[in-house]
Amino acid sequence: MRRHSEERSGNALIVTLVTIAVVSGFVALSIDLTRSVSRNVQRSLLLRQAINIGDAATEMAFADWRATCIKNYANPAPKGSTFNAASVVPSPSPGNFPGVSKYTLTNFAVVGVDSSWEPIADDLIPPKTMGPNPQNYSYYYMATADVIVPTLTSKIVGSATDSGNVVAKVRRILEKYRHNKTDKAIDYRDDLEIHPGPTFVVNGDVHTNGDLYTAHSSLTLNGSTSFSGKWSVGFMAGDGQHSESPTMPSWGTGEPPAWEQASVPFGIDVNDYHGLIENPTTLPNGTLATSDPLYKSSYSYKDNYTFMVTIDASNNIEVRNSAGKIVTNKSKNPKDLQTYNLFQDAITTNENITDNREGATTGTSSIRVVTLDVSALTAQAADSGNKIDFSAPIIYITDTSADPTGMTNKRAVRLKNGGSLPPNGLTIASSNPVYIQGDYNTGTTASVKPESDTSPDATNAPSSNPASPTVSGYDRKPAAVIADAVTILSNSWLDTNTPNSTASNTTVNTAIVAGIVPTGDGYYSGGAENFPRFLENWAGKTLTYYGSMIELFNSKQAIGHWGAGNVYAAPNRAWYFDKNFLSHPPPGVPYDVDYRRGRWFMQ
Amino acid sequence: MRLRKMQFSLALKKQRAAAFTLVEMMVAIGVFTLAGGLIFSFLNTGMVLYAKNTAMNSAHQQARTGVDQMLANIHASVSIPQLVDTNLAPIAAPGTGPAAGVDFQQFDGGPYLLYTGANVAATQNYIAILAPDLDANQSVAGLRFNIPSHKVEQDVASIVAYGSYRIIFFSNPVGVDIITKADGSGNGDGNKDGTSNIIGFTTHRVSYAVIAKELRYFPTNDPLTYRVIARNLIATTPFQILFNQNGGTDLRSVGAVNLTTSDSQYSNRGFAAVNMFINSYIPFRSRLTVFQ
Repeated sequence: MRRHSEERSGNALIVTLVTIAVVSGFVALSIDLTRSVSRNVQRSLLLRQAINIGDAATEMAFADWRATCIKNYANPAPKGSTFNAASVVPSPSPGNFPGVSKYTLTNFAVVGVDSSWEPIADDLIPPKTMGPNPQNYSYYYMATADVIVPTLTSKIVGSATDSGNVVAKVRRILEKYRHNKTDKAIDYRDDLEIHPGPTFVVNGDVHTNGDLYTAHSSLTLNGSTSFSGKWSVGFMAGDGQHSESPTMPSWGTGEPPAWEQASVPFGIDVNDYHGLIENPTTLPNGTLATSDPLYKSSYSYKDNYTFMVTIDASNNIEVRNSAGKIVTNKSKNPKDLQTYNLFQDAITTNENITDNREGATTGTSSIRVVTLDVSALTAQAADSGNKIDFSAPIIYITDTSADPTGMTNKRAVRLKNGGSLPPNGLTIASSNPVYIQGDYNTGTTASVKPESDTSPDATNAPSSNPASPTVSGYDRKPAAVIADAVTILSNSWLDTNTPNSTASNTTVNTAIVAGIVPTGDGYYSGGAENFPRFLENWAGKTLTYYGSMIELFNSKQAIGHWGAGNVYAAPNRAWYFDKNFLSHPPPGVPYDVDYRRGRWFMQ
Repeated sequence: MRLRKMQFSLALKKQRAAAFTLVEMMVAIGVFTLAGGLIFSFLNTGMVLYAKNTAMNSAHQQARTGVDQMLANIHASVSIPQLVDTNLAPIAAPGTGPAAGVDFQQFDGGPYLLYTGANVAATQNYIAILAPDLDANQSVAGLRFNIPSHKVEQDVASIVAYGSYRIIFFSNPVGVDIITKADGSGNGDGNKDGTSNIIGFTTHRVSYAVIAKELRYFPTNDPLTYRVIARNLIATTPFQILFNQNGGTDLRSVGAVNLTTSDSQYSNRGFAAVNMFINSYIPFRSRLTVFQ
């Protein structure tokens, strides 16, 4: 009986122990799971923290690399050793990451990489990777940052091989991309507004270094669109000429407007790119300092030309050859003599036209123009006895008597009879406004016009089959007009025209690099749809345009606000990006250097 | 006599042991029932708390794992993410959502040098690259080939190996002429003087979408091939592109909202990790492609 009683007591103990064990097991499991989850969460958070530190470090490396490249703009491809010094790409300090108590940053560097994005020796120049033409190419670099963050199970703090540590090896490819500015339909250095009334399709890429303003569903961005500021579906502050409710534009499938790193014209950072076309010798003191990068001959058109033509206040013409030497009728070099005779024949001075847009703002609508007969250049280039170099002609032509503020002494250059251009194209640069009169680069003759003049498209909607912008047998030449502002005069333009005079269908095939009068004080800039300016009554008439519109600066001489009455009626806009520019850019066209963030990855 | 006394005593003890009264038994049972109930209640509460804790941890963990993977992938995206529906088809313009899913391209391989022995005509539907390590037998589902300098972005139809080179076939023509062949001019213009150095790389399109309460990862953008990242999601359209205060979008990020999970595996009580990732702002790091 005693033994029987002990068995009952033992069972109770066992049951109790088993119960406690089971409960303890559950508790242990729960604690273990919780700890496991906790550790995973901690490692996950620490990994994210390490990645963020690595990201921030490579971002700082990118900024320093970019600044260094801009500072050394004369060197197209700095070696990796350029970025070795701590003063050039300084390592981030803990103060850069407040709130992070423990981390170790190693392998922080910017190195050159080859075409396969593999690091190369510091003393080697990164190889050039090519674009669609010889002027478009890239150099690649890589920013590296290894971030080690300790955890509760770390054994050796700062060791990348200690599995207890969390390690993030962040890598960022950096690309220095040089490309011609004519590879986009619209390229603005400043804020870009596009507010068309009727249907307006941008057939090509668009970029602005500033903010993008779109506010009409009639706008279709049928290419890659990017902005470096912000994108607003609305109107810019200071625009008092739009009161309608903004609507969202359309865009091509898979190509919504998107943020992009700002491009840097010529890879140099200056405040005012108008210096590209200014003639420093005639400017007021201090307008363009000799220390300004634009003063250097490799950028400014006043030093970078095939021919330089200046007209003074008395309408005297001075012509220089590509070496900067003044040519006269007494020049002994046959080429110089031909050059002198060419421009004496091609230029007409002291003509006047009426520009009511300028008149409305400055009170002076009469513009003294110097007219360049482009057909004379084309004939000279085709002449069997020609000795002048037309391989990549750039003509810098300026009336130096213009008031640099645009208020008085209003001067301009007019391009006339530009139906056919020299075989390798033509670039015209001027510090003055330029008026393009009639068909330009179309093959137009006195008897033949392009289809775009005879049967033009009413719009440039993508579904349409565009009318040919050139006459049969004529190939568009790479052409650019670079000026303070560019105004297009129709084939029907007469100098005696009034703003109510009727324009006629006209076709212009050239890149335009020019300035704008920015929005403000109640005035609208006119937007990209009025980047080329107009003076006539174009109602029902079509301007067909193949080219690339590039805004680099604010106009200084053609400062008339858009929107004044009695100036013009808008044309039908059959405008297209000239894809020929991708492979054949105009002579001497400006270029951008983009400093891009490339592939991001972790090793 | 002594033996008799002992036998009597034992018999008396047995009679006493069997002599618990009904009241005694009821009291005893009551006490045990009360004690057992208290213990059961205590254990039950503990189990419920355990299940709740486990479920919430599991829900958090699943969502965290899912978002971590998605976060890493979107970080590494090389295209602008686009929102998609449950069939992985892009949603209609302006495409800002909210939507069930998001797709984007990830870097796959390269960069590869284009073959310099012959130029590429705009009309041809293939391109040759120097890529000895590129697997010609891989699945081309979701695979794209990109030449950023020439804005060529094409879906890959097939890959054929030819020594160290790979011929990449597209469904459509290349679209632009690409001059890769050296002209021997030696003028330092890269593709004109002996080495083309035109590069391209491959990407593959991947998607994430919430379908049937599951966050699914589609590694080749094929709706039938997926991996479940998180289960028991509550929000059906957690993805959206965020607008800025000016009405536009900056398209540098994907806002993943209400990626909320519950977990019924342990408790059947549907405890949810409520709104744990509301308004997550997931920026993508670089854009290497023009198209989404």
